[in-house]
Amino acid sequence: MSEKPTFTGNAEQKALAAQVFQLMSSQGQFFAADSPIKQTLANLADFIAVQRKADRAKVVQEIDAALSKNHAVFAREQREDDVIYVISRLGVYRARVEENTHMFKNRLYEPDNPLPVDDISVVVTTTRPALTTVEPVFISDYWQQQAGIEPVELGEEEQEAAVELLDTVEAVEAVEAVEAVAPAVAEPIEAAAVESVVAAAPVVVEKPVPVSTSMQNTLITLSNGVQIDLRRPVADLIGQYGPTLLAQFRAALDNDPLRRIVTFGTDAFPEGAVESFGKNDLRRIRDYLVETGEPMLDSQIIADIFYHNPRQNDYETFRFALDYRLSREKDFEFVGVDGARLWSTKGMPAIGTKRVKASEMGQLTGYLEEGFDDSTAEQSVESIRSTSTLSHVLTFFEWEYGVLPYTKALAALLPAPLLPDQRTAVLRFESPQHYSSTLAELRFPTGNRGGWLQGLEEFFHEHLVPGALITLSRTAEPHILTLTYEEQPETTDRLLILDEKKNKLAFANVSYYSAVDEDMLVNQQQYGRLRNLKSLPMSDRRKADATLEHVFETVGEPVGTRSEPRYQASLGQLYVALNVLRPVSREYLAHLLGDSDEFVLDGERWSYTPPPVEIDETEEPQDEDLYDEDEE
Amino acid sequence: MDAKNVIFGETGLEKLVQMLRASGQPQDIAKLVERYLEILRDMVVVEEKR
Repeated sequence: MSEKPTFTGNAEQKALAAQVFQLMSSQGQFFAADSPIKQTLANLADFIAVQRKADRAKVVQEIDAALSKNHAVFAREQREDDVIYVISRLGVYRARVEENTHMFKNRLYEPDNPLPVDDISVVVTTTRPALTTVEPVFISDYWQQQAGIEPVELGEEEQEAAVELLDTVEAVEAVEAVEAVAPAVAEPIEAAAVESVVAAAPVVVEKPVPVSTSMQNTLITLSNGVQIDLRRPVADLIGQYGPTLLAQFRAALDNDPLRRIVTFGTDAFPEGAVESFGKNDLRRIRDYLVETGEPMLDSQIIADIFYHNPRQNDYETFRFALDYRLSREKDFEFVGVDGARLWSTKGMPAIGTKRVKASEMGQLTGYLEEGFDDSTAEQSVESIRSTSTLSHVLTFFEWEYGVLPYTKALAALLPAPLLPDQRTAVLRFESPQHYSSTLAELRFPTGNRGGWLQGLEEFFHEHLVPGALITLSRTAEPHILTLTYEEQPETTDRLLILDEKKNKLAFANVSYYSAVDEDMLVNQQQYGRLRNLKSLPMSDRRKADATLEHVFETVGEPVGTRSEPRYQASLGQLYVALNVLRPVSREYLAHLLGDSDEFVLDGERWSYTPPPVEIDETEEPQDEDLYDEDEE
Repeated sequence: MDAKNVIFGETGLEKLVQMLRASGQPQDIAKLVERYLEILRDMVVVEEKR
């Protein structure tokens, strides 16, 4: 199999070396070709001395001399007082080196001439899986480095240099470890490393570089690219990456094709241990809800239909199962909040006004999502949260339709949605002054559509007037709030009302008992011109700029001529008047006024010059008193 | 276990399921994340020391 190596020395030494090589090769004839074959000088001398019948001491010297001449073949090891020679069947013994660069895996992931990678996604070939889930794809370090996702690993010297620069506890520990392992080579490497530090410095400053192999092995990479070192305490990781970890964990659970762990709100439980409900159970729950006529708590459903006792061991598990299973049914809708899990179903009476469609209301309150929410100017979010109360002056639109826009101030008071895709929550408003309560529906904002609270129409009309100051307060129950107002002796005034039959705004005598903000009170004395305001259809009111023009023409004081009309009004007047037709904040109103050249600020008042209208001469002349129609 | 092979939300999830099942009650998901990190930590750091 292998050729005999060539030996050096004199003839005797060559022959002796060849004999020893043959002896040792025979000894290891079943060894691997590159495995070490070891033999001691003493054993060789014993064997050859017996064969030659020569003096053993002399043979020892001869063998040592012959093999020393051929040290290229016979590796010599001195062990205590004996000498060991090492060869392999191939001749000289060389330690095995793992050669795997030719392997397909390495050639695939680390090609010799890679193409530049601008986008990591081009490296990943996505295939359509049997289950519609996103399967994790392994991307080798090589490609991650090409795409700049993973920091480039430094060489040993650069790593040591980097260690010196990193002013962290971990870095110091790593340095100590390196020094403990190789104190003898520390100085030369440090000297050489100084130069590489300069080059490596920018990399180190931008991103902490993994210091040692062991540190790299504890770094896990989240799907958003964030790297987390598992050697750090869990509390530290939660403190730094808590929201990210939670979001990633939730997403992973949701995307798990096996759905091993399911969640409802903030609770999680293994799917396999969640009880199932049959069609009959679901029908009974639906019938129960329709019969009661309002959303019910999960605990109430459990008690009244399943007769489960809270003292039973499996009560919480059963409750979770009910909530989770109902959330998966399209006939049921979760309308609760954290701490009060309410359920609604199809066929239940609607809460709130039907005069404004949800799609229209979402657009009317869209200005809040556009950033024109100044509700926290007078009462900060912190103040609302700490006192658990919110004061608010009702506008005409809010009073008329029983709607409150979901401003930041209202959001600070009301509970947040429990489920990520939750659209509505049903809240109960209690009136301690009248021993009554009202159900209200909270519509959460979606995209560029704003949110609002509806269902207070009856209470507002019965006890309040536009301009009334109301106070909303939290109670011990998260879904129950109180609605109060300051009472005062009876006052009668001519206030603006909407005549539903004629679809016209008018002033009528109204008696009220609530304290009001006089500037916001829409009475005939202050806002008499509003009787000419057209009750525009909701679809028109969505166009805030056009609505404002109409409002300005109506409520503004005419200061122009009949041919060149011009109107003037204060910001406060416009705010009250525009809020008759649609909800609007002062900030949004200022934005609308500043956004158009037709509105000009004259001192403290705004003036509006309508664009010239081409008069059709064939048309009959209009009533002359149109321009002065507002005059009483 | 090499941390490179850890897929957050997948690796070690079975252990978490067992733990959750053994607890017998639904758990808060924030606490569950902490427990899951401990499981991953055991798999990566503790096993590496062994």
